[in-house]
Order: sequence, then C-alpha cells, then structure tokens
Amino acid sequence: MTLLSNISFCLLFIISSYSVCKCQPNTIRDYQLLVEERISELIQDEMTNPVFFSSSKDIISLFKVSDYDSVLIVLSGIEQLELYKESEFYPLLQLFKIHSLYELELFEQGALALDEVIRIESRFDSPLTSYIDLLKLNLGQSLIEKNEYDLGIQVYRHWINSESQKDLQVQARVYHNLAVGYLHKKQFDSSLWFFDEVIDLRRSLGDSSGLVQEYMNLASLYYEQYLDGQAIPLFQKALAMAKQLGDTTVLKTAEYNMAVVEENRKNYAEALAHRKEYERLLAAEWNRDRIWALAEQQKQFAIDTKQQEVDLLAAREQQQLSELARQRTQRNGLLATAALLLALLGMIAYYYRRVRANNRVISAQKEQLNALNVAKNQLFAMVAHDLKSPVMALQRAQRKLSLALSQTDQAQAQSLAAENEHITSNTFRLLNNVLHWAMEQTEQLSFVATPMPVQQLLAQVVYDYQELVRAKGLTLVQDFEVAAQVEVDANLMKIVLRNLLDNALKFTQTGGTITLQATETGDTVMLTIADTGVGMTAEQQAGLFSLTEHEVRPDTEGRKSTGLGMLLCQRLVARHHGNITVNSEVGKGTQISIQLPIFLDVEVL
Amino acid sequence: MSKIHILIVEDNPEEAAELREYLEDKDYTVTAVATTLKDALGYFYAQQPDLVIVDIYLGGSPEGITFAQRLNENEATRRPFLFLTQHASLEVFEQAKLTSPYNYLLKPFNPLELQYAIELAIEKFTGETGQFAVGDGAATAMEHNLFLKRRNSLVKVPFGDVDYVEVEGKYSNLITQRGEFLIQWPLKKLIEKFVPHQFVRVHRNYLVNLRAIQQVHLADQHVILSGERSIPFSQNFKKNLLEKFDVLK
Repeated sequence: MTLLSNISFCLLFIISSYSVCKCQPNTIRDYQLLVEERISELIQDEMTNPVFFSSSKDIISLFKVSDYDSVLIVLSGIEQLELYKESEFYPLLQLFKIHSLYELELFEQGALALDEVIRIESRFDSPLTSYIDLLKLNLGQSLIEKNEYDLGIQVYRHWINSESQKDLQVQARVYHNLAVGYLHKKQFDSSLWFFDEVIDLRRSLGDSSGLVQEYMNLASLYYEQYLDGQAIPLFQKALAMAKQLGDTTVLKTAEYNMAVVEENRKNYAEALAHRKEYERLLAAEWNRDRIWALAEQQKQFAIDTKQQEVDLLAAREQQQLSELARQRTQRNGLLATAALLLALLGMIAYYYRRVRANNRVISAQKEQLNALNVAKNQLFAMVAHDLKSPVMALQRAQRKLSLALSQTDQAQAQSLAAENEHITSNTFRLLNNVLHWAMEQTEQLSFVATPMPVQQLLAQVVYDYQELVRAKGLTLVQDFEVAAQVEVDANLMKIVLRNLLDNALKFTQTGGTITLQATETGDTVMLTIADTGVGMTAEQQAGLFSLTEHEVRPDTEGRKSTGLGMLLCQRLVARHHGNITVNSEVGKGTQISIQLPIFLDVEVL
Repeated sequence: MSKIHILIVEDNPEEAAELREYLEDKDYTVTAVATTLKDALGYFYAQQPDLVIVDIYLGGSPEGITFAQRLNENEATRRPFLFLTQHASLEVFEQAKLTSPYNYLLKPFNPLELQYAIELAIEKFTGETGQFAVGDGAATAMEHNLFLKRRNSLVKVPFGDVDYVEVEGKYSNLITQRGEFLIQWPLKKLIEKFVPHQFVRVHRNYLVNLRAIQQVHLADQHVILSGERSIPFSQNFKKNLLEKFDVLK
C-alpha cells in the first residue's frame, strides 16, 4: 500500500515537472494574427451570405477581445447552415471554436471538434496546420492533466500522425506525456515503448537530467509491475547518474526512490542511508531555499535600510533646503526692512528739509507781514490821531459857536461855522482816503474805465476848489484846454486829483499859486498840479510812496498829515497804466505830474 | 423848446433837496421826488419823465436797481437813468451792471459832475456816446425830441416845434416860435433825422416843417411860413416840395 502511494506520488511529481510543454502565449498570438488576416482576406473575396459574412466578422472581433463564450454562441448560430461546412472559413472558424473550448477548459468537446477538423486536415495550408498542431499539443496536455487519458492519448496520436515537422524537444515531451498516460491506463507495454523512445530522444538531445528522470520513470513502470529485477538496476543507474550530474532535485528524487525500493527489499540499513541522504538533500534544498530567502530578506533589509538612509538624507536635504529658504526669506526680509528704513529715513530727511525750507519762507513772510502789520498799525494810529485833532477842534469850535450864538455875536458865529465846515471837509477827505485805501487793498474797489475828455475831468474836480483857493488867498491857474480823452474810472481818477489839489492847498502859503495844467505829448497826456508851497526834501520825496518810511509832515497851518493820500494816488494811477512823478524843492514848491495814455476813439466825429 | 423833465428817486430828503436845487439851477424840471420803489414806478408811468435819477439804495436795500430793471422790461417805456451811490463798492456795481445802459454818479457830486452824468446817460441811451463833449450845438435825438446842449446845460426841442432849419456851414439854426437854437450836425445827419418828422428840403440850406408852410410862391420861388416869414426854394428841390403837397392833398 505504502509503495503504491509512494509511486503515485513520484509519478505525479514527475508529470508536474513536465507540465511546461504548453506553447508560449506569444506563439499563439502570432498564429491568431495570421488567422485573422487570412479570414479577413477570405471574407472580402467571398461575400456570398451576408449573415454568414457578418457573423464571421463578429467572431473575429469577439475572438480578438478573448470573449470566448460569445464566439461559441455566434458560431452555434451559423454551424447549422449548409454553407458553413462548405465554406472556406469552416476550418478556420472550427479552429476558433476549438481554441475557445480549450480556453473555457471544455477539453473533451474541444477534442471532439478537433477530430472533425483532423478529418479535413488536408484542406489546410501550412500556417493553419501549425495552428492545429499547437491546439493538439495544448489539448493533449490538458486532457492528460485532467486524467482524460483516452482522449489525451488520441489527440497526441493525431499530433504524432500529422505530417508536420516535429521539434525533438516537443516530441520528447509528447512521448513522455503519452508514456505517463499509458502508465495511468496500466497499458505498460505502450508506456514502456514511449519511455524507451523518450530515453532515446533525451539521450540524443544530451538532456542528462531528463534522461535520469526518464530512467526513474521507467524504473517506476517496472516496479509497478513488480519487475524488481528490471526496476532496481534502473533506479540504481538513475541514482548514479544523478550523483554524477549533481542535480540535487533529480538526486533527491533518486535517493527517495532508492530508499523506498531498499525498504521494500527489507534492506533497512540501505533504505535508511538513502532516506537520510534524501532528507539531507531535502534539508539542503530547504536550507538553500531558506538561505536564499534569508539572503532575500537580508537584501530586502539592506534595501530598506538604504531606503531609510536615503529617506533620511532626503528629509535632511529637505530640511536643509527649507532652512536655506528660511534663511533666504529672513535675509530678504532684513534687506526689505533695511531698504524700507532707508527710504523712510530719506523721506524724513526730505520732508525735514522741506519743512525747514517752508519754515524759512514762512518766517520770511512772517517778518514781512510783521513789518506790514507794524506799518498798518502805525497808519491806523496816525489815522486815529488825524481824526482826533479835527474832531477835538470841531468840538471846541462847536462850543464857541454855541457861546457866540447865545451872545448873539453874528460875526463870530459865522466865522466859527466856516471854520467848522473847513474842518469837516478835511476830515471827510481823510475818511474817504482811508475808505478807498482799504477797499483798494482788499480788492473791493470797482474799476470801470470809460473814455472821458481830460478837460471835463479836470473841470469837474477843480470846481470844488475854486472857493477854497479863494478863501486861502491863493491864485488858481487853469490851463487844460486840450481835446484829448483818457480812459479812466472817473471816480478813482478824481480821488487822485483831489488828493493832489488838497496837498497843494495845504502846503501853499497865502499869496501862492496853484496851477492845474494838461499837456499832450505824443500818445500821452500829462496832468500837472504845481504849487509854490513849502516843498519837500529829497528824503521826504523818497519816502512819499512808502507805507513804512513816510514821514508825517505838518502843513501850513501846523496840522499833521499821514500822507496816506499819496500812497493811494500812486496805487490808483498805476491801475490806470499811468505814472506819477514828483518834483519838489524846499521853499520853492512842489510839482506833481500824472502821465496817462491818450484814449483814441476811432468813431469820434 | 421845453425843459427836460427829470424824476428823482431818493429816500434821503436832504440829498434829494440838494439834487433838486442843482437840477433846477440848470433849468431842468424835477417832476417829483419818489422815496420808495412803488412811488417811483407810479410817478414814472404817470409823468413819463425824460430821465430818472435813482439812488441805488432805498431804505437800505438796492431797490434802485430793481426799479431800473422794471424800466428796461418794456421797450416803449424805456428811459435814460442815472444811478446815485455812496460807495464805489464792487458788490453794488456788479448788480448795477446788469441794468443796461449802466451809468452812475458817486456821492457827493458837484453840479458839473451831475451835468456830465446826465449828458452821459442820454448819450448812452441814444447810442451816441461822446456827442455832448463837442460843447454848444451838440445834440442827440430821442423819439420826437432833440436834446441840445446849450450854455452847459441841455434843453429839449421837440421836432414839431421847429419851423425850419437854416444851414450855415458847420452850424445850423433851428428856428422855433420861441427862439433859435444852434445845432452842430452835418447836413447829412440833419436830413436823416428831420425828414422823418415831416420836414422837406426846399433849398440847399433850408429844411422846412411842412406844418409851418402857409403858402408856396412858385413864381418868385418862396415859401411863406406863419408869421410872414419867407424862405427861398430852389428849382432843384421844387419837385421834392410839390410831391409832399400832393401827398398832403
């Protein structure tokens, strides 16, 4: 019992070691491609039945995508057609069917279909024959593996009978498989024949390992039939050959087989030695595997370690990089901050300088304004003073007038009234000047220039002075019979002329002469007011048109004047695009001239 | 000839009195003194003066300007006017400027200034600025009247009052029932202004008011006017004269 089980173990072991006789998948692919091409060609040539045609096309495309179920279903649809078996594609489609059955592991049906194909094998050309051979090999092997020995042997026999050229390696495998198949079927003669054939083939191929295997297979065959006399020497031969070969796998099997054989012969010492040898080999093999696994593990470990190192290094590099980036950012930040600070400093410096410059301008302006303010205050003081004295005089005169009236002193009253009128008219003029000065300074003064005859202008002004001049005992000479017109704001120009006449009146002693003259010179007209009065020094003349430098001069009656009138005159003449000039000599008199452009009216008749 | 009628609009009685005095000295007729805007308008429409002298400020507000604006609204009632003001301040003038023709007189003023301002107001109104500067004989026409400068004043002579015009070179004489007036107009202007008022040129030197003609002596070529006055007419202008009579018949 134990022997049989051992032998079967041994046989199975052997078969599995030879189960690599499947053809390479790429070879199958090549064939498939060839077949597809062939079918495409054929289909194009022969378009007899559209259904058949389209089904065939479908089969090809389905086969291509390895949908073998669908291939079989579509095929079953056309298999019943008369046309099918007559068609040129029949063998090809049939091959697809076999292939699909094979792929679906329906080996028996595949073998049946193959039988059909083999009957018409003569109709195939060589690529298809090769394909059929391939299918035969695959089917045969699969059937034997599935213990379908009869079918497998049948298929293999077909392969052997076919006329195609045989590869010796493949032939050896086929013979081996057949020998195993017959062995399983207990047809020892056939098995023995094929083993002998395989041994011959191995020998001629120089395949020592295969030969040892075959010897052992043959020995097992004999041993199975209790032909110990033939089996044992073969086992021994195999063992010797295996030892010679040094192939541990084969040797291990040989030792094991010898151990079994010796044990059965009751040669326990021998059996034990073989068994030990077997176990040693097994252990060695296992150790080898173990060592290999260990080595693998070690290798893996080393790789892991290395990987860790690499990871560590990468992490460190990353860290360094990030550190570098951080440093760069820090540096950039510092740089930016520095630049910002610098810019800020620059700006501060710039603004500081500007502020300083502004301050300088402001302080200069302030000084100027202060000077002007002082002058203005002086002016106000003088104006107030000027106003105070006449008003006081008026008050005094008024009291006297009341007294005179109560005493009914007619003459005295009249004289006082005249005095009062004089004072008030002077005061009125001063006020008028102050008002116009203020308006001029604040740009509130209206200025509307219209053409006016010079004669008319002077006549209107002088009209008010005739009485005054006579009252003071002065002579007034009027010499302004000119046709010229000037473009003036009459009211403003009259203020100028009145001021000049007032001054002449004030600074000329009784008996003196005041001359009002107008002369045309080219495109200008000169208005001159001349007196034979007290005159002015050069300094007085120089300070006449300056607010800060002018002096207060007492007039012929000892009254003081601010000289504001002269300033006003200058400003107003300037606004008329004119010039004012002063010519004076102390003790001899003053001559003031105003030069104005003549107005030319083209429309004057 | 008649006096020029002036309406005073002034709320200060003393100033109004002084102004009236000045005007009457110059032989102008002051038709009334109005102290409010309402009165002023009332007097103006009722009396139809030749000129109005208006104080800008009436009772503290610039109603004088409002008055002038109202005057200007109606073309038929427009008259020359003259603003009186205390201050030459910009604010007031900006408003006064809106009334055209714009003319003003600053207080206080003397009669010469007043006279000049009146002349200027009339000149501006008739659009003949500078006309009165030429002195005696200067004249401007306003509606049915001539405003003539005479002895530093202005007189009003209605065209209808003139019997005939005698041209004597640069000057011409306007002969009226109440006397003669010198006018310094070129002949062309005389014809242009007098002919529309029913005057006809009968001679190189004579323009006659058709109204004044009583007889035309074709034989000795004379025109007899009222008051036994006789004016010659020349052959050149005979047709001119007779045409007018044809029209009149």
